[in-house]
Parts: sequence; structure tokens; C-alpha cells
Amino acid sequence: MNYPTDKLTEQLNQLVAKACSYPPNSTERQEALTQIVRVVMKSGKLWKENNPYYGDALQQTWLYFMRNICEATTGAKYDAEISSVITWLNAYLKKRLLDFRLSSSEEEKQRAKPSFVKEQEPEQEIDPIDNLPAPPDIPPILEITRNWATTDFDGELRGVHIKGYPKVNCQILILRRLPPETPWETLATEFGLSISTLNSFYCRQCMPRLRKFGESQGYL
Amino acid sequence: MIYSTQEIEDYSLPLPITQTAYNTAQRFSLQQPNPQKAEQVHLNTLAVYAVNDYLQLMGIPTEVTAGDSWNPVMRLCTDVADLEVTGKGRLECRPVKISESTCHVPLEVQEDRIGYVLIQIDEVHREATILGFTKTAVTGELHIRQLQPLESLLKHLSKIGEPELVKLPVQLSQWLQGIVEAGWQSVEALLDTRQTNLASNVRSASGSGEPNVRRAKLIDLGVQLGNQVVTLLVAVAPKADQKLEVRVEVHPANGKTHLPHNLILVMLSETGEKIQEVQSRSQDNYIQLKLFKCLSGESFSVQLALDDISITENFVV
Repeated sequence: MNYPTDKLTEQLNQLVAKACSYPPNSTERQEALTQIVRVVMKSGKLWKENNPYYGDALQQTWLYFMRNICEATTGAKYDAEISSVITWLNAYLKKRLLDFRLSSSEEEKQRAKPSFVKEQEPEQEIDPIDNLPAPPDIPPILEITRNWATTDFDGELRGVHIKGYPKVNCQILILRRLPPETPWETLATEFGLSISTLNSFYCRQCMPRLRKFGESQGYL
Repeated sequence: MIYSTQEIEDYSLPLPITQTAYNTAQRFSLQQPNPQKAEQVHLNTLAVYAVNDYLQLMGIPTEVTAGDSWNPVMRLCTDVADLEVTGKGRLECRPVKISESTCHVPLEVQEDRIGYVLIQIDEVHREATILGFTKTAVTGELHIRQLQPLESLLKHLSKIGEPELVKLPVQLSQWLQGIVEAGWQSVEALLDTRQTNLASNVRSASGSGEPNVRRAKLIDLGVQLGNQVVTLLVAVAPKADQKLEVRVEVHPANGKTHLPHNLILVMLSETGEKIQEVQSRSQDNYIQLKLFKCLSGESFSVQLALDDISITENFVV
């Protein structure tokens, strides 16, 4: 979708005027701002660049836009006399992209400097692979969770069950729903219960216990 | 309102996928035990980020790390993509693959959500397109035709937690002078003869022949799947010492013979304290509060509740 530039400029100016006619944080202003993002993003007029941080630069650009389009908050307020909305956005976007390029080349320089080589150990060869960040350790969260549910040290998980079905307890459902998950349909047939009964029990009894256990593991 | 697929495309909102979102999605998916689960977590995380980034632009505060999608155990055990909107509740952000027009809503995320947002993830162009929003997902599958544009989400969020409009109390003493608020009709207009006979008459103990006034109002308890409308009847009679005797009853409406089961009728004091309560059984023709007297200037409220819906009417004598 490519608009003629004049028509686009005019449409955006109208939307900006509309947005700014409403108080900050009002739903009406949010609606008009949403419409601006929609029109600009679909216009094909934004600066494009192959940069891994393009998305971050663009998100920062939109944030800057939102904060300064009607009132000056973090920068100078937008002035339609000086530039069109698209020109204003592109100028800021290019600045942010430049910042990301500079900081990533700075990082590369830092990485290339063998500053950590101790002179006392000249015999030690530096393998460039060692300089790459190690792949993050994969925490065996599945094993941790399975052990916790199987051990059930205070018997709580075994003790909470669907009324009249002592075998259909939290422990069994948690274990059977660990990946690769047994489908609810299979469990329903196996236990002779409806999917909704099983599911509502899982949501009300098992999920809060899983959530609490997850919180105790820290946010990995 | 239902939109066509073409309109959904017009209403959709493309946003960039940030490196921050990718890095987190990568970190979360590396913790998963198999490729299917890893892909699910990857897409769910990108979907949550897209909505989070959008709400950030709108100045709507969120707590992205507070949801189950940031809890390592919940992420593993459930197919979850929730986003906590501060002070409002959790939005479920479901990813939709390019070229797909439906998305599965897992059973475990069909409760306890303030709404569902669908996001199309295009990794090739590093773009997350917010397709639209819907308040409920009862069927377990959402078609993009069911969606409303993002503007509806903004309206929906603004309404959550907003105090209800303050309704002016009904002036009961004025009823005796024939001044009756809109919506309050004659009993005969709303109840049939059989019901009118059932409805109690408030008799004036003074015997002075002063007029007793009975008025009725339709109350819509707007439960899904067919409206539940009932008739609230209020009768007043002047008593000695400037007191007013008040009777409150609830009758079925629209020609029905029975009230909905478990309809709760409550009387609250000026300060919101519960004074009396009555609940309908399975075959009740009507329910009523115990007769009570009010002094001039006193106020009270009557609350009707069915399931999660509750409607309050305020009165002043």
C-alpha cells in the first residue's frame, strides 16, 4: 500500500490534530495515535535498514513520537511547519540506528582486544572460540518440575483430588500434562471424566501449585 | 460487530519485533524439552512482547514479568501467553502463523482473562501484526473474523475498574405526590392479573385513606444466552411520624411464571451494610424483602444479583 506523499502528509496532519485535541491518556487520543501508527507502518514510507536492532530503534522512535507529538515531554514538540510526520520519524529513526551501529561496533572492538591475556602466561594460546559467549546452560526445568511432583515430599499433590476420584489427583495430572502433554481427550477417556471437569480441576488446584513452585524457582 | 478478513487486514497494526523480544523468546525456548514446545514458547513470547510494546506506546502500564508466561514452570506446563495490564487484569496474547486464519485457545487460558489479542508473527520480515481483539473465547478456537479492531481493546481497558456511573436515587417520598422517575411504571403495565393478585398490597395503618403507591421497573440482569429480565416492584405507604413503609418484591417478567433460580435480592443500608437478603429457589413465583419503615431523608439500596451480574437501585425517602 503506497499512498501519494501529499495525501499521506495531509491525512497524518489531520490525525495528529485530532489526537492532540483530546487530553493525554484519553481513550480518544489513544485511538487516534493507534490510527497514526497503522497508517505510517502501512505506508511503506518509513526508513528501512538491515540491522538486527532495527525493531528496537523503531520502537524507540514510536515512543519518542508518542511522548512529543502533542506535548514536549522528552524532546522538542513536533512542529508541522518544520517537517512532515514521516520526515520527523525517519530523522529520529536514523539517529537511533546510528547509535545501535556505534555501540555494537564498540562492543566488537572490546571483544577483539586481548586485554584479558595475562603476560605471565605467554604460553597459553587464545582460542578464538573461547571468546564467544558460551551457549546459555539449559536449565533442566522439566526434570526439576518432574522431580518435585514425583517426590511430593509433603503429600500435598497426592492429597488433592477430584471428589470421588482419589486416583485423579494433582500429582497425576501435573505429571501427565508435562511435555509431551497427554491430550485432555485421552485423560478424559482414561479417567471416565469430562474434559471440563478435568480442566477446571487442573486450573483451580494444579495451576496455582505449579505457579507457586515456579515462583520459588526464580524467574529464569 | 463482525469484520471481514479484508477489514481485519485494514484494521491490523504491524509493529517491529525487537531484538529484546527475540533474545527473551530465545532464552525461554531454550529451556523447553522438545522442538514443538520450544516453538510454542518462542511464538508466545513474541506475541506477548508485541502487545506489551503496543500498550507501552499507548501509555498503558503493564507488568510483563508478572504473568505465567514469565514463570518457568507455568511456561513449561501450560500453553500460556498472558500479559498483566496494571490494575486491569491479564490479556491473553495468542500468536497466529502467517496464512492461518484461526488460532487455538488452550483450555487452561479460557478463564480469568480480560480479553484475547491475536498477533500474526512474521519472522522473515521481523514484524508482529496485531490483528485484533475479542473479550471472550469460549469455543476454544478463535477465527480472525471474530475480532474487533484494537480501538475496542482501548475502550475495553478504559472501562475496567472505572467506577459505575452514579445514579441519582429514586425519591420515594415524591412518589406520593405523583412524581415518578422514568422507568418506573404502573404495576398493571408490567405484571399480568395473576401476578398483580400475588403482589402484596401495602396498607396504610393510619386508615386515613392516604394513597399507597406501587411502581414496577424492568431489571435486565443481562446474562449471556438470552436475557434474564425480572420486574422489581416497590410499594410505599405513609405512616405516622413521617415514616414511610416500604415493600420490595421481585416478580418474573415477560409472561414467565417462575423467577430464575438463585436470584438474590439484598437490601443495603446507606453505608452499604447488608440489612436483609433473600434468594429464589427453583420454582419461586416471586420473592420479597421483609416490610420495613424508613424515616424521611433516609436512604437505602436494593441489589439484585444473578450469577456474576449485579444491579443496584438506590432509594431515598
